Amino acid sequence: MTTQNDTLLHVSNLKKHFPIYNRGILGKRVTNYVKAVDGVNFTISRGEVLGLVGESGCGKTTTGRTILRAETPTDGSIIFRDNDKGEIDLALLNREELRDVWRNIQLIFQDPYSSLNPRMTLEQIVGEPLHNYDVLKGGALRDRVAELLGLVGLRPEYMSRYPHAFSGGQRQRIGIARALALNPQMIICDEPVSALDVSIQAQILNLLQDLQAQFQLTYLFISHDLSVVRHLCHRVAVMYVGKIVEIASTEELFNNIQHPYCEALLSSAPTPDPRAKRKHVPLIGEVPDPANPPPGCYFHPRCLYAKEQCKAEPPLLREVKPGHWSACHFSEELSLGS
Amino acid sequence: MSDVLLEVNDLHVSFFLTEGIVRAVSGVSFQIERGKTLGIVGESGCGKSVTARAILNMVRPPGRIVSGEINYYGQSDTPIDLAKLDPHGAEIRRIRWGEISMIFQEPMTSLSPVHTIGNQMIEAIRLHMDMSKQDAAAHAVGLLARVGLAQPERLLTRYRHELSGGMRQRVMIAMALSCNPKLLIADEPTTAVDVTTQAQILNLMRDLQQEFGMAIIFITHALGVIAEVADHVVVMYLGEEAEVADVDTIYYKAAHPYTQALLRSIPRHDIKLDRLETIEGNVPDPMNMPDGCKFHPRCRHYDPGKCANPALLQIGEQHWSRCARAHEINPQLSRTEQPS
Repeated sequence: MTTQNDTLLHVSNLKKHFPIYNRGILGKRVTNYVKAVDGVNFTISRGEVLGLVGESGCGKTTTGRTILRAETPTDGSIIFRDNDKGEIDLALLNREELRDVWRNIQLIFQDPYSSLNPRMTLEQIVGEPLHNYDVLKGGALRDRVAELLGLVGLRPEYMSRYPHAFSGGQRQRIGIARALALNPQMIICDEPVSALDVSIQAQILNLLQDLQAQFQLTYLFISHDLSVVRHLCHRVAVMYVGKIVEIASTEELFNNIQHPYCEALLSSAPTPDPRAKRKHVPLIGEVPDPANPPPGCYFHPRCLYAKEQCKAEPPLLREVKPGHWSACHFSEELSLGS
Repeated sequence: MSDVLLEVNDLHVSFFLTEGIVRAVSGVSFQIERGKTLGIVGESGCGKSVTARAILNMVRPPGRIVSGEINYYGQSDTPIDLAKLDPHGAEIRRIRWGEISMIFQEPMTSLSPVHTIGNQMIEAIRLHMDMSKQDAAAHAVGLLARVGLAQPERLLTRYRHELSGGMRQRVMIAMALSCNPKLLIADEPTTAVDVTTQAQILNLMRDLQQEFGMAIIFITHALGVIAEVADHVVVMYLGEEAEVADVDTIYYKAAHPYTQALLRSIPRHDIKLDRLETIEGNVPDPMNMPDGCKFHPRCRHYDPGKCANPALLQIGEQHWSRCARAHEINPQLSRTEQPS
């Protein structure tokens, strides 16, 4: 994965290990690490929507938080190509420098109820980023907030109301307006539609899609829902126990699976069609503990195709076809998902 | 005995709050056959969970069953009306768990934090079946093994916090099956678990249904799950059934605008879609429901002259729709059948 000119973000060998402490009579000792993110590599181009998908505990949210530097990475680099400052490694920045970067990277949260301050009006919530960075003041700020509310499909007259007056879908729109306020170069969306009802989910997905097209936005879209990811993303990365196991363009990934875990994941997703032929690839057992992962390939104890090599040798993420990367020793030999 | 196991007729459940009355379920009727799976699908606030609780006469105050019948054909052809039973009486307590059991969305809160899995299971079994403690323990071990849990003997001594989400839901299923129920009510049983665990649990429930022959009422908001598990489907909206039919009809010949719109609004992992259709607006406030057809403010087929007060119309042999224009609006062609 080489850094090209249109690359906005280049994450390489990103690690985030959380220490596990043992409090004994001799004080606090680190006994082990939860390897939440364990050597993740990917790039996002300008104007691209990259989906980061996996089950709970796979490290997708921690990856997003570490890129934002809400967590300090244990290792690795996060090269961000800023419009003004050129290439910067987010992993090395201190708090003050980060403040500048955060203008350009914004976050949309999963829970539209806890992510908005109930004591602030819409004007204050959406205008807060503009105010914090001293971009606009007074009437100009109000005009910009009105414009942002219009963009996300809310009436500007709502500006003086508080979040409790709004439904879940409307609150998610408020969160999106806030994320757009500073014209960021990248938005990290962490499960933005998971808490919403079916009929509202479609409205928000369409809004995110429209805004992306209108402003050529770049999204890192974190989700557990394969249907949502297929619908919205240009490329998809699948994570399992802190590592990316497969990454490819969306249609390539869904039509031409190269990793046994992704095959099992996709076959587990229910299809809203009673005539669809079920081809469940059953997954036995549970996701391993990220503090004590198995040796070799982390997926081998549950893999239908595991061989001796898989038990000893951790597979590297490698390009098995142009633009299609898979972390399986036997991607070429297996014909999966058919 | 007839094929019908449970029949709900014109059920009304209301919650009497200080702010007003919320009619959570207003006139729902459906039936479920022995050994079959009925899916109840709808968005939050549509009354699907309240309906399930009403079947077991477990609606909590300030809510109560206002009217309607819940005829349960358990032992004979003379039904017991569960809605008329004393919610704390001996009869309903025998039927709950003994004949009709229920599993919930969050297995964490349905298991006791201070009792071992074994104690909870043995107590439930001995309440409903005449068994010694040893026999009940052996029965529990057999059930835990049957739902695919490893080392069931050791599991009896564990507490709920020692288990993963998927394991807890399996324990709940084992408990729910412990008295050979005739009906299992599953309220969003896989909503809190991951998709691979969900597939395991759905497979397990399918296998267990074939083995034990119980009927299942499966409540969910996920249309994908309903398509996989249900024989018949009730689509609910604001406390009423919008449409009732067999699963194939719901997905291929839906005749209610809400069902049609729901199916077109979901993203799919199996086919590429360019754009989702949306249902405009929000689910109305339950205190302030629209007059006439409850879906009319969001319906694109609304005609003020025709849609005054739609009744549940029978439009096919096993197909009902609460839409006054059900005969006019074209049955939706499924996406897979649409020419691309």
